[in-house]
Amino acid sequence: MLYVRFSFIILSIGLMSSIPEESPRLVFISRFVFHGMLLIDFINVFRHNYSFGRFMAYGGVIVSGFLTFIDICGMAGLLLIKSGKHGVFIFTGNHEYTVMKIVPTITAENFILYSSLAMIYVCGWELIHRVKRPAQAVEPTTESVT
Amino acid sequence: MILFNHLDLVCYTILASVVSGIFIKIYMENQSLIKATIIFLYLPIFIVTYPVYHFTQIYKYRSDMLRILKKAEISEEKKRKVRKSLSSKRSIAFHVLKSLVLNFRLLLDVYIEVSAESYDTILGKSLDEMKKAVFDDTKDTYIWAI
Repeated sequence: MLYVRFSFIILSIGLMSSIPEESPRLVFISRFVFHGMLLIDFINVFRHNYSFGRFMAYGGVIVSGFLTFIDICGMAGLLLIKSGKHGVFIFTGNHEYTVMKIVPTITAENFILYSSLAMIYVCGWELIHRVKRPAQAVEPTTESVT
Repeated sequence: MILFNHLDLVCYTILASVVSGIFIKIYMENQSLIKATIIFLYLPIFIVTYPVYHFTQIYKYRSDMLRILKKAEISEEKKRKVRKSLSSKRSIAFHVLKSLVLNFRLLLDVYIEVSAESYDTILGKSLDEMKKAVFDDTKDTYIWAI
């Protein structure tokens, strides 16, 4: 089941990565659902694991939490994906708000590619360590989990 | 489909996450850098020798296993499956590789425990103490030879 789960994560991230040309704001909404779900999963892992499992949960909470924050900003209209020159989509802050001028402008392709690679990097740690989730009903111990 | 256009980068990130994760896991269980690097560098030897040993053991005792299988109280379908996996060298090799991939997390835990013990007894000591430990282990065989 482990490899099925991991391949489904990669497949769903890949399917989310296409940008619809008519309404590019849909990218933020679809990614928000997925990253928020992973954030809840990593919080569960954090509560029931020790040693390397907890380290993995720290990484997962930081990465998925940062990405959900960006997605919420995109849903609220603070960040934008819009078509620039030569039909290339760019990722910028909304310049109607002065604070959002801090956000650097990069191509949307780079933003989506590197954020999804960071997510895959953290999820790949599960291939080498067995983590416990509360549905398995295991009593947490203070010793290192084998 | 931005992610699927860069499948090579996905493969590199999975490799990097697995390799770095193994090193971090070994370091977090032993809490010393020198010990962790030595255990990490001996890991490829384990990954190569384990399936070879597993294969030779199964091939050696294949006829005994088939004899036990006739008397065993399991369903006919399961018996047919086991007999099929023992039928030729290629199927035994497939079975061994499958078990290596599916049980990799468990084998890694066992490897880390055993190698940490052997490091404390032999590898962590100075050269003279190491010679003495090896001599103590093989002392009885020398006496028998004389």
